[in-house]
Amino acid sequence: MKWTFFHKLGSPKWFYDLAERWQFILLGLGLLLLCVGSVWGLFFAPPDYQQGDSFRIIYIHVPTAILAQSCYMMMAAAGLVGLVWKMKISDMFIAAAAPLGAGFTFLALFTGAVWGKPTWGTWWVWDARLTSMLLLLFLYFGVIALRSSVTQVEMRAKASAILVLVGVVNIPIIKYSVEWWNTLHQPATFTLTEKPAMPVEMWLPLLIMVIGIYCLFTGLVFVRVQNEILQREQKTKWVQALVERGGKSR
Amino acid sequence: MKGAVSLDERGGIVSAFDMGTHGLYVWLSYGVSALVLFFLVLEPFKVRKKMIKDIHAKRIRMEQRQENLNNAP
Repeated sequence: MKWTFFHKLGSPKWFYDLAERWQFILLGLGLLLLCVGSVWGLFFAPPDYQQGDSFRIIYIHVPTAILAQSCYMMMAAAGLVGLVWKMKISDMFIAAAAPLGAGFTFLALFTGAVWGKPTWGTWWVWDARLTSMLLLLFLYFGVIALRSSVTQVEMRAKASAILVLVGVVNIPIIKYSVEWWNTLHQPATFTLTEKPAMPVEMWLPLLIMVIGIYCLFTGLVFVRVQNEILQREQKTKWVQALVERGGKSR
Repeated sequence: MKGAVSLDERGGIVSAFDMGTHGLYVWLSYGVSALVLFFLVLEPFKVRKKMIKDIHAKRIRMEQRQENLNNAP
């Protein structure tokens, strides 16, 4: 196997072109799937026998919560690559993903609170799942704050990579919190190995929402990494030429 | 299987939007999520537009400065 792709990935220009080709496909597909999943989940999925219609919040809550954690894992992988191989593009991924992760974590917490009120009778409890998820939000805020306070580029890359890697310990805590501690939060709805305990017309829209939100996220990371590239490589000839064309690759 | 869109005694498709006592919670969740997602999608494109304008302006400035230096007596 040739390792050239690994070197290409480290080249900002190569990635800019790749992102240019894929971003609108991913964003379009993501938005389409989210629309289909929402309409299906809101109007066509049958109401839950215990929770009635409030269970429909699941179609936002679960995808945003899954993504909030995947986004963090992606940042951690980028942080590791950045520390070991000193690839400058890996730091751009951390910069691009942190605000998105914060947004999705906020949505997971918000929809969880709104769902908790009619289901548990309270907006918030300090139990393991909710608290560890709140910690994830603070980790995202921490990365964003750290990045805005350090101006020296290499130092900023190193510091945020270390912060992200230290925070990774929180991810298994979120995942297993519902098993390790007694919590109000129910266990996972989906696992990779078992058949869901829901009827198909309930979980299919959920699956569509999950795929949709991954597509949207990937598209948004591409657009935001492109912005980082433009900002940091603005003195290079190819970015200057690109700017003359209004930001289009060719 | 009877979905949420159905004709019931209250009549019509209107019932689909009325999620009983939980309607407020459901619509609040979807509404806030739609707002946040729209912001997350639109923001990077707005940033891009401004960035391209700024980089372009900076280049023009640099070129003009160079020209002034060259034309200086």
